[in-house]
Amino acid sequence: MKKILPPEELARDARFVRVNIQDTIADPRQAKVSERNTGSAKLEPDRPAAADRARQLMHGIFMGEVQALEGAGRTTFDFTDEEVPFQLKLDMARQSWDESRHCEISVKLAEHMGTEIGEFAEATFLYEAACAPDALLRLTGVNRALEGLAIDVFNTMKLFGDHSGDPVLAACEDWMLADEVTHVKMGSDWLRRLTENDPERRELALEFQRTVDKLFSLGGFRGETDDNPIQLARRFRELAGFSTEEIDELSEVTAEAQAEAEAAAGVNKS
Amino acid sequence: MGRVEVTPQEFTYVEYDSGIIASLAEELAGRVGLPDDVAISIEIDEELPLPLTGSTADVVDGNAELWFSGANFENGKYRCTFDEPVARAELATNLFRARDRLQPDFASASPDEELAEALRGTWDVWAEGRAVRLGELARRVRRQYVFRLYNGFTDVADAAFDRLWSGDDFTWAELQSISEQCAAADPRPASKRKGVPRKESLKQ
Repeated sequence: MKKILPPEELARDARFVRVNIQDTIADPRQAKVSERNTGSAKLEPDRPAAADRARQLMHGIFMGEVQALEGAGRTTFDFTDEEVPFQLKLDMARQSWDESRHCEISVKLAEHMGTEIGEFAEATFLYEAACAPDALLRLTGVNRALEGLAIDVFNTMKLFGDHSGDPVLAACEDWMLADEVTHVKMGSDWLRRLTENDPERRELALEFQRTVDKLFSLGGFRGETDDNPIQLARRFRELAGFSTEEIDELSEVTAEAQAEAEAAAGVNKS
Repeated sequence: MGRVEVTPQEFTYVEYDSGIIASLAEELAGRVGLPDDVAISIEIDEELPLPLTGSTADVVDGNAELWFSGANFENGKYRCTFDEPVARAELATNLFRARDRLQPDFASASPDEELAEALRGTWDVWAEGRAVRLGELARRVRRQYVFRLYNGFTDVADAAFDRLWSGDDFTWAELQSISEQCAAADPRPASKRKGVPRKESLKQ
């Protein structure tokens, strides 16, 4: 079996269509929407188009779970016992088990909301972060950055379920959120252990994480202001091993990502 | 020139054809029973991408005035492209509501932008159910999710949905009554229910 599987070789059937996330962010309509005064962008039931925004996000979560399963599975397989501790591979196997359950839960939730598998295009940027040749970079890029985004997204969806009175959505998102906190903590713990005597390597890994965090902020999709549909889940990130300073830094990274995307799109917010 | 006018005539951001949209509306208007002497104007806001959907169907001076977000006609797999089955279903649903507005017992129905979400959701179920019986695309669970979002995740709301989806004749007063029954069974605090019009709108 091939090691380090490139994103273009991921197995997908005819229901799935790929899209480049950069094309979506650069869509000139996004800039036009940003210029409008339509109130808070937070995902709330009383916001315009709330149902379809939630449906599309749920489909995105499903695709993210598929890719998280593929990423954790690859990390279990791609490295020898000499390259990474066997216990780390066991943790990745455990994570794969969790992600496969999340895929099944996400399919059911999408059905509950009236969404078909493949109804929306798939971006593979999540899996791409899981293709790093160094396992340490995967721990920061995937477990701390990607799974950290999952914490923010699941918390947002859980609140959406709470606020809309949807007990199915709220409960399922809460169960998955609990797993994601564990996955991020795994990344935090292994990062500390693997770089205990190598601060330079730890800093390189954290720099990779910052790059991925910026990418995953998707030009303002995530942040801490009313302009951001997905809100940073500070409390859950603390539970997952993030320090206050790290969360503050992430908040700055998300603001930078939004400013850069708006500048690139020529958004005028005056 | 036909009775359907589509704005804009040329699209800049999306690959839509106003002529195709006009001909679909012309055909569907006949099938939903909109009288021949009713002119139809359709405005499409092409700056709004998926998932920012939204629509209104009003009658002004005896003519049907429909507004759609461009997202309502967009293919979710292929950005900026036209999804004809989805567009047909959206047009038919809103043409049904425009036809309803021409009936005397809908005279007291507020314009769409002033309607409470719960009531609008109730009316949409009835309209989309009729469109499906014409043979248009069925998105029943999607519609039910929207209905539940605004009328409650309750057995009463689900029974109301079934009745609306399969029913052929309702008056405006009956739609209001159904929405009120759902609200009475909704355990959410009153502040979380959608009995008042939303403050913000995608329509400009």
